[in-house]
Amino acid sequence: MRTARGKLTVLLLFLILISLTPNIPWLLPSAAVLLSLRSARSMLVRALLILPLSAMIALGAWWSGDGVVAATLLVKSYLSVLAVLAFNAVTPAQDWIAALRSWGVPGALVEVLQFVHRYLTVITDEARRMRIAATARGGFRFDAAAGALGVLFARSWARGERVHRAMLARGYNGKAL
Amino acid sequence: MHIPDGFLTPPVWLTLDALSAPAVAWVARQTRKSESVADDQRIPLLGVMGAFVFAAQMVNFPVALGASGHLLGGTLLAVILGPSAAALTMTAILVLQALLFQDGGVLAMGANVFNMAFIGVLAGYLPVRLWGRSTLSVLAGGALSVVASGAMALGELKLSGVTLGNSALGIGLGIFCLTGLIEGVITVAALRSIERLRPQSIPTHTPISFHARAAVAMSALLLITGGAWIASAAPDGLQHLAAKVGLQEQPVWTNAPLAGYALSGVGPDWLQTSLAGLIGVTCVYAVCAIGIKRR
Repeated sequence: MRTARGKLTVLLLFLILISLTPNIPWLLPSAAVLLSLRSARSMLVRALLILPLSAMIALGAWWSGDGVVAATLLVKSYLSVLAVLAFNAVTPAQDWIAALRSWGVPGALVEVLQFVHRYLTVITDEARRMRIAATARGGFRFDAAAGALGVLFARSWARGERVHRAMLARGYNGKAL
Repeated sequence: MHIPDGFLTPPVWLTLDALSAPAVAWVARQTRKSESVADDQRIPLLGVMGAFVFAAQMVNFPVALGASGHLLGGTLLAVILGPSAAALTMTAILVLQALLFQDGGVLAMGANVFNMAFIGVLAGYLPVRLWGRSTLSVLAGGALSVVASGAMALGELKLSGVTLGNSALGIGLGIFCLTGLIEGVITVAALRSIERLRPQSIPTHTPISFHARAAVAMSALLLITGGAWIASAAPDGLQHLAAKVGLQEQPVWTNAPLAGYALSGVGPDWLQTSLAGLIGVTCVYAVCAIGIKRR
């Protein structure tokens, strides 16, 4: 956990550095540092995935007449995403979530984060199965999608209650996890 | 609507981080408090609900013209969990989206939490608080929540010196209005289906008293008067866009009673704009009130 805290600190400092950099030439050293990390190099393409949104905002800026600024913003957002991806590749999520607690992030938020992270894959898999079944039947109609959402909600809720009862049975007192 | 890193300048993201941190601490305390009162532990439930909102993105709703949308969830969470628990859950979702899925920046997290977990949830909850839960109030909540947080995001980008011209702003706002409408419709449909399957998980929402509603009306009045006064100095984005595309060359509605958002011949300019705004809002309120009565 201590190493996770260190990595999170480095990530934040690096992002702040990028945020403070005024233009593209000054961003080159940061880019060089990132490229020297193996975890970042393997993410070069994945980081492009967020570009559509950034590109849309940058396009708005460019259209309004500021090409250089738009390009700088695009490069900055790309480097920031690359840094987060590199951080992700070397830090398991439960480690940095636990590290947040030692930084004084409220316990309730940390616990909700841990639960969301734990159940994300379980419930998303359930949703994916529903979607595959719906696709096999010819896709969601509007009311069918609403019904699926209701079913997903009811199952998630029931799961939440079940999990909580199981945790109470194992001595969970609302704080320690 | 998730602002990525790199777009906000340090003063802007720093301010919003500094604003969001105590707000998150506050809702976290609120959630703990309500938990000890109600005796049913809510934290595991909030976690599972957060995961549900993530998973709900897999369920695509076909909307008109082949486009499809999915639930964003702020209003749904507010109606089911109450505003502070909803804000806490949305914060958790945004943190994971930023750090695990690169959806929204890390430094910009304060801004995104402020826009979506606080403004979005509050705006989505407001109509339900005012008029109780009905189809129309939930629809309005969903739409309002998206438009409000989208407008905040655009404002923050603008504050950061991202040069967004009036036409770009107009397009952005147009997209948010459309997304908001879709969110409203999906939230209504989802709540209906939840009510059928699990009615006990939706708490009852009694509308607030007449006096409280009057107080809200008064503050809205102040905002409109002040806002119209400031806003009338700058033309709005959609109008600018329309003028650019050539839609507005010979407008036929210049002779309508509230043309140009001013009530002509009632005194000084600022009074005209404010009165026109007031009349507009009253009409909207009346329509909503009648619609809700007829439910």
